Amino acid sequence: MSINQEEGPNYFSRYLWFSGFVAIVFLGLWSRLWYLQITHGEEYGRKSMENILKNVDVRPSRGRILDVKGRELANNRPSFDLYFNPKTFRRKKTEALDLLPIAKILDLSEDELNDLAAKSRKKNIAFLLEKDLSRAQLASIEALFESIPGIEIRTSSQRTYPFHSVTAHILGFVSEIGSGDLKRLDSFGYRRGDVVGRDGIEKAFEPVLRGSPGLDRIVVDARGLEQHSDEDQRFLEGEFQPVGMIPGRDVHLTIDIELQLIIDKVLKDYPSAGVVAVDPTDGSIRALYSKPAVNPNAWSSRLASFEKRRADQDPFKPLMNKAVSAYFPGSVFKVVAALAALEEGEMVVEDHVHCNGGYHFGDRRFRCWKRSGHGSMNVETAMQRSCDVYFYNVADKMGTDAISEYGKMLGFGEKTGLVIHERAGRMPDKKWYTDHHPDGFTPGSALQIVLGQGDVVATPLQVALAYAAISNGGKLYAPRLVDQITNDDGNAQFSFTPELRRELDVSPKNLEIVRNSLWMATNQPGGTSFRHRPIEFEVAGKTGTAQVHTFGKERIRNKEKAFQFRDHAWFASWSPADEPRLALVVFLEHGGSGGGNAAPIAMKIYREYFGGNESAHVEKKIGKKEAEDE
Amino acid sequence: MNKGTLFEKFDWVFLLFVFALATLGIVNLHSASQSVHGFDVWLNQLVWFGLGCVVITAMFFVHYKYFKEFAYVAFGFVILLLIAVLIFGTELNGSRRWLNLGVFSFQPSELMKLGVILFTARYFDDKNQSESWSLAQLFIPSVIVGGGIFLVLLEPDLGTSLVILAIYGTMVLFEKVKLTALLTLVLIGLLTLPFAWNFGLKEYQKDRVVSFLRLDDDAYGNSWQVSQSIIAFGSGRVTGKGHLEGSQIQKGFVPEHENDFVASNWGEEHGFLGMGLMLLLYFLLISWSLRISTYAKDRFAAQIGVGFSAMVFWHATVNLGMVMGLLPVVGLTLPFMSSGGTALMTLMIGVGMVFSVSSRSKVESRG
Repeated sequence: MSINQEEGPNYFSRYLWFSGFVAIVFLGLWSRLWYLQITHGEEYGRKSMENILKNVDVRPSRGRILDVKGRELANNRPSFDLYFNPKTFRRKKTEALDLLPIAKILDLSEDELNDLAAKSRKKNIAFLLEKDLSRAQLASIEALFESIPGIEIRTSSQRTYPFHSVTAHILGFVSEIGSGDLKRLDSFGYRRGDVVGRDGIEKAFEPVLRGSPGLDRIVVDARGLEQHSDEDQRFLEGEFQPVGMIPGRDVHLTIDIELQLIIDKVLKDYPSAGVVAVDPTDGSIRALYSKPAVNPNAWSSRLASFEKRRADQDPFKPLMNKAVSAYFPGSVFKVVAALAALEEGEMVVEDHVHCNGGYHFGDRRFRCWKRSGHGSMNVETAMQRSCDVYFYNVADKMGTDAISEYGKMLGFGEKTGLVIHERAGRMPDKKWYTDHHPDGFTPGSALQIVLGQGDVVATPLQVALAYAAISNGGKLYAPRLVDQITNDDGNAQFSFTPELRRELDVSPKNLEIVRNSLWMATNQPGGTSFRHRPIEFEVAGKTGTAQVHTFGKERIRNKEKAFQFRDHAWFASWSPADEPRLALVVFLEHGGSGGGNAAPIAMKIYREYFGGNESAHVEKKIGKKEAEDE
Repeated sequence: MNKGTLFEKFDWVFLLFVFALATLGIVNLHSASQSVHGFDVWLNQLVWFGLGCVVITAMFFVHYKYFKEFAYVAFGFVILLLIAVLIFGTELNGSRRWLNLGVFSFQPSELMKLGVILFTARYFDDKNQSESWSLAQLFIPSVIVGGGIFLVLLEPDLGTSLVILAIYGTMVLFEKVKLTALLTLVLIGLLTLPFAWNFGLKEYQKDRVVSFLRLDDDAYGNSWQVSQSIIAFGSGRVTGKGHLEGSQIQKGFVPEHENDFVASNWGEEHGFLGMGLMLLLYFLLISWSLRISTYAKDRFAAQIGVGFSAMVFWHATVNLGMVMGLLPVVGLTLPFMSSGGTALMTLMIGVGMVFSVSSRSKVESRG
C-alpha cells in the first residue's frame, strides 16, 4: 500500500455521472432491441423466413415423341443458360467495364453491354442473358465466376429433334410462349419462359406432351442458391403442401422413321415433294413426308426469328406440308371414274372404246395424251395405259355429279380426320360450279374432272387413303397417326384404335376389276409404270401427270418449262399387289411425269423398305420404249 | 512495493469481465464464421486473445509511471505511423488504413486511440490543474489531438476519427471545463457541420447518411445490410434462434457479419436476453474501469481508466447504434466481438494499462 497520503484528484461525481450516462445509453439501446425483438419480433421473424424460403415452380419435362418402334423423334436435352443476378452485382458495384469479358464471349455490342449494365442496376431479380450456351462459351464463362460476381449458369430443357427436317412437318416445333399467348394460357399454368407447341404433333398434343407443373418450396441463401443440407430442411416444416409435378406423357406415332428416312434419301434429286405411306389394313400412317422442310431444332431455339425469315423467302415453301396440301391429282384420279362407271353400269368390262387420240365434245376436241391413240380400250387396259379418250367417254355418259359422288365416297373433297393440320381439297359438283365458278356449270367440266384436272384438287394423303381403301376391299379409314400415349413409367394411358370412316358402297367384283387394272399398269407390258416394276414383289399402282399450265396448243417438253410451270408427277400404289401391306403415294411438285419420275421413286422406296438396302437397283429394262409416259 | 501487495491488489473482477466478454465474442465468432470461410475465424481470434493475455501480463508488471514517461513519445510514434500509412499504406476499398510490415499488417489508426489516451492523460497530469479549464487552456492539447484525428480522417477512416474525438472529449469532460468554453465548443461544432458535410465527407459517406435517414427506400442499396441486420435482430425475438441457428447470418444475408455487424449474429441467435447480457457486460467493464478514477493516486492513472472506458463505450455504442439502424453506418468494430487482430490487441493493451494502473492505486478512498 502506498504511504503517500497526497489526495488524488476528485473524480467521484463525474464517475457517477458518466456511469449513469452509460447506463442510460445502454438502456436506450436495449429499448431499441425491445422494439425490434419483442414488439416487432414476429414480423421480423417472418421476414427472415421469407429471405430463405423460395417458392419454385417445378416445370414438367415435356413428353417425348416416338415412332412406331419406340425410336425418339423428339426429346429434351439440357440447355445451359446464362443468368445475371443484379443483387450480387450492385453490392459489388459492378460497372459495365467489369462485364467486358462476358460481352466478348457472347459477342455483344457496346450498346448491348451498356443496356446490360443499366439493367443490372435497376432490376432486383436474376434475369436471362443468353440461352443455350455453346460448350466453348460455357467453359469460358465458368472461368469468370470468381472475377464477376452475380453471373449464374442455370440449366433448362431444350427441345431437340434427332431427325431434324425429316420429321419436321409431322412434329412441328415448340417456341417460347409470347406475351399474347401468356395472357390466354396463364390460367393453364403457363409461365414466362415455358415453351408451347406451335405446329404438328407438338401443337395438337400440347396438353398431353406438356404435363402439369408442380409447386415446391426450397431453402436458399443470400445469393439465391438452393441449400440442400438436411439441417436446412427444417425450415420447410409447416403448413406448406407441395404440389406434385406430372411429367409430360410420351406420344407414340404410327410413323416408321426408317421409311421416313428412306423417302428422304430417295428424293434427294427432287426439290419439292410430298409422300404418304399408309398401312391399308388399319389406316396407320407409316410415313408422312414433305420436302423441303425447316430444321425444327433451329426453330425451337434462339435462332428462330432468323430461320423464320429464311423460310418465308424460300420459293419451295418449306413451311407447307405437301403431303396434306391439295394439288391437281391428274390420272391417279381415274380410279374414281373407273369405279363409278362400273358401279353405275355405264361400262362393263367387256365394253370397248376406240381411242384415236381425241374425243369430240360439242364443238371442242379433247385430246388423249397419246396423240396417235391407244386403239381399242376396255376399262382395264384404259387404266393400265391411262387412256384419256376412254374416260372422256365415261365422263360424257355420267356427268359431273356422278363422278363427284364417287370421288366424295372415296374421300376426296373432305378432310380425312388427320390430327395435324390438313387441307380438304376440292371435289366439285354441279352445285359447286353454279355457286363458285366464274363461268357457272358447263357440261364439259366432267371431261376435265375425270382426268383429275380442272377444278378437282386432292392431297397426297387423300389419294393414299383412297388407294388403300381400294386395295383392302373397300374400307376407307381415317388416318391413324398416333398409336398410343404412355406416361413416364411407360404404361399406356390411351390407345388410338383404327377408325373406319366408311365401307365403300361398291360391289367386290368391280373393286376387283379396278385392282386388277392397277396391277396390269405395273405388271403387264404397256402399263404406265411397267418398266420400273420391282422383281422381288408386285406393286399395283397408277401414274399421274397433272398439268399445271397450258401453253396454247403447243406441247412444250417439261424440262424446257420454268420450274413453277412444270407438271406435277404422281404415283399412287400399294404393295404387295395381292396382299397389301403398304399403300404409297409419291407426289413430286413440278416433278415431271408420273411414269418417268414418280413411279421410279416409289419403286425405290418399296425396294428399300421391303428388302432392306441390299437389294439395290434392280431396274427392269424391258418395255422401256413402250412406256413413253402418259 | 513488493510483488505480494501487487498481486493482492490485482483486479480479479476486471479480469473476469474481460474474459467474459472475450469468451462471448469468440463463441459468437464460432457461429458467425461457421459457414463462410475455409479457415476458422474464431480460432484465429482465440490465438490473438491468447497473445493479448501475454501482453496484459507483461504490462501488469510495468509500473504505469513508465507509461506516463513515454506517453508523448508513444503519441509521436503513432503520428509517424499515421503519416507512414498515408504514404506506404495498402489501399483497400478506396482507403489507406493498413501498414504492411511483411510479417503482419496492422492499422495505426487503432493505436491512435491509445496514443490519444496516453497523451491526454499525461497532459492533464502535467498541468495538474484543479480549477476549471478555459478555452484558451484547452487550445494546445486540442490542436495536437486534432492533428492526430486529422491524419486518421485522411485515410479516410471516419468512424475511428469520431471515436478518437469522443474519447478525447470524454477525458476533457472528466476535468473541470468552464461553462463558457463548453458552450463555445458546441457552437463551433454546429457551425462546422455544414462545412464538414460539403467538404469533409466522401460521397460514399454521404450516401450512407442519406440512406440511413430513408431506411426503407432502397432495400437493396446502401442500407441493404442495415435492413438485413435489423431483420436478424428482430427475428431473434426473446431468446434467440440458438447457436449456429441464425439463418440471416448463416445464409449470408448480413455482410460484414464477422466484423462491424457481428452483433447481429449474437442478437439473432441469443435474442433480447442475450443482447441484455452483452450490454450488461459492457456496462460492468466500462464502469469498473471508470471506477479507477475514484481511487487513483494521480490524474494520469485516473485518466487511463477514463480513456479505456470511453474507448469501449463509444465503440460499443456507435457500433450497436449502427447495426440496429439508429446511427448511420460509419464502419466501426465492436470491442471484443469483432474479428481482427489489431482491434483486439489495441483493446488488450488498453486492458494491460488499466491493470497496471489499478494495481498500483490506493485502496478505495471513497464509496
